[in-house]
Amino acid sequence: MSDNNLLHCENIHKYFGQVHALEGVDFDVGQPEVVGLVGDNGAGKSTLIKCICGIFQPTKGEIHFKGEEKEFTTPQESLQAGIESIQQDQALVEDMDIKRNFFLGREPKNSLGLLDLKEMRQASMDGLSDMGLEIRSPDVNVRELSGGQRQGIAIARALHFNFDLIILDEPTNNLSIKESKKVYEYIQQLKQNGLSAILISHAIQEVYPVSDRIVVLRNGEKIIDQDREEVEMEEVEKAIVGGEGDEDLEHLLL
Amino acid sequence: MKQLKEFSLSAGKSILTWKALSSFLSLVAVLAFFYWQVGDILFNKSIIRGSLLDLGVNWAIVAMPVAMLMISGEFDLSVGSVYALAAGGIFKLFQIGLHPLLSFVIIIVACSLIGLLHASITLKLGIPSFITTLAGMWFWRSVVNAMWSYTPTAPADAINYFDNVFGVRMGGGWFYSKFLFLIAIFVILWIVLERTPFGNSIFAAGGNFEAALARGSKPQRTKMIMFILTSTLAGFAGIVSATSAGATMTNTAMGLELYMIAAAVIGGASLTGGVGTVEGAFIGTFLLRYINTGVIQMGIESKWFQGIVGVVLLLAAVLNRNFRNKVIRRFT
Ligand SMILES: Nc1ncnc2c1ncn2[C@@H]1O[C@H](COP(=O)(O)OP(=O)(O)OP(=O)(O)O)[C@@H](O)[C@H]1O
Ligand SMILES: [Mg+2]
Repeated sequence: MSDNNLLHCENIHKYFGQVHALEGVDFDVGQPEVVGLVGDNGAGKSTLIKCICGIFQPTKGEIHFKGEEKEFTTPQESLQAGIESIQQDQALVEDMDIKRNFFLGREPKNSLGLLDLKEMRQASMDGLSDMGLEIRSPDVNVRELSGGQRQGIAIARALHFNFDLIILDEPTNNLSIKESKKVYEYIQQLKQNGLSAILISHAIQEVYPVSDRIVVLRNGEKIIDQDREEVEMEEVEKAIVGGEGDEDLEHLLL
Repeated sequence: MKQLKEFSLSAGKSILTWKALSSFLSLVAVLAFFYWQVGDILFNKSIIRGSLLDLGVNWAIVAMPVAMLMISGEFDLSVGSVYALAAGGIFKLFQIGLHPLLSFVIIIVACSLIGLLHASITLKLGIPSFITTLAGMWFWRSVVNAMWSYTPTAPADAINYFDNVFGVRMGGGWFYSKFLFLIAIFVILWIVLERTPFGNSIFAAGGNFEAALARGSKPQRTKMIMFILTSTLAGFAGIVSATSAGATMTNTAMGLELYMIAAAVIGGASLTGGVGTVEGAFIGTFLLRYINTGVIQMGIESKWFQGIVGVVLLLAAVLNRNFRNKVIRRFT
């Protein structure tokens, strides 16, 4: 793939001592494009993502973002460059209300340098209603919201701040079918707004419905990288667990 | 008419969702109880100024930053020792003849450095602040003991210097001027917590550290600043206390740290961080002081003070937990 892509990772290696967690992974995200990144526990998904958003530095390899080579050393740097990562347990502060969560770390100030609460209320409500998320008040604590609504807020926030690439970790894990559908709608909205996303999961079912492309990691290597139309869900499922030797186990499970 | 109705509705809503409401109700209940028991003995000038507002002011200056530190997810158990260290320390500096103002500056800087030390050990080495500041509590108390094995006194002119600032009778004799300092600190801290980006980062640091980090809200720095502020204000309160009393002892403010945590909890703070108020800690402090004054006036042996504080603490915690969440759910 080319440098025209929004994100272009080339030959990424990551060692943790003796553990070779990523063994030369190439990974691209177009613009706009939703990429489903799947793999079993320990496949290297989180490690790859953490290299992209500056939590880890790759042992070897290059990361290009918007056509420029980048070496992010902190999450703040990738955030500033336009990469927003929504980790399930790291997205929102439960005991804080919606408006304060929405603007956490980037609070609007009035002329006195104090929080512009009016702007915070207005903009957070606008952001949510633009996505079709109906919430009665921006003063509601996040603790009171459902998992789907929380994902919605995190996504609306990413839209509001105009990030280019949003990384979502298991976006529909623990959600009902109805709520998952809502989250898929939010992700579609991201794309309609010209943004790209990476959806991470160990279950292909979770990301298949909205992904344009599917990338599968196994033991630190990329084993599938195909447009969704070209690949069947079952094929991906097999690839995730690794075909050989597991036949007996599959019988047991079925 | 309609406007009036809307106004009273929104006013009613803000009162009901006020985070310190249960501490306020507790205070009203305690006041009513003592009024019923001993009548207006408890509401005259000398009691208010002396028993209530004297020690109460010193305590509240500490309770508010302790509550904010708890909101940011950390404890400071060393505030009592730092308070005593500042009180004794400034007397030492007076005795060697330093100018009162210079002595004040030195002690305040020293206390902020103690806060910085606690913060660094906690945050850089990853030791829970409960442990770090428990160690600090013992260590600084030992420093106090080692340096002042007798009750230090200070030159009268140095004491007067501060008395003219903190100890002026005001408001027709209802309070000392240090009460105005308390009000100023209260207003500043309230604005900082509720109306600034830094305040937002305090709630986030204690509510969800990882999220705060990921949003670039710098929770480490926030905690660091809160440790320093808490130690600094504990030292400030110690100075105010020593100079207004004209004396300090090696066991001054022993056990203060737990009363401060109690005041914060009565005021709605949670032990797990992310929740609490400045005004609640303020109210909680005076609630504790009032109980103390009240039991003495009632002629109950004052050893019951701690027992009653324990019961009130429990009641406030139950109120906070069961009453507030329900109200909030209904009215936001
Ligand atoms: N900080 C670390 N130190 C040492 N080894 C690590 C570290 N992080 C990950 N690893 C190792 O790297 C490999 C890949 O882990 P990674 O967390 O990226 O997997 P994953 O695909 O995200 O799995 P999961 O679905 O369980 O989250 C694993 O073998 C893991 O043990
Ligand atoms: Mg992972």
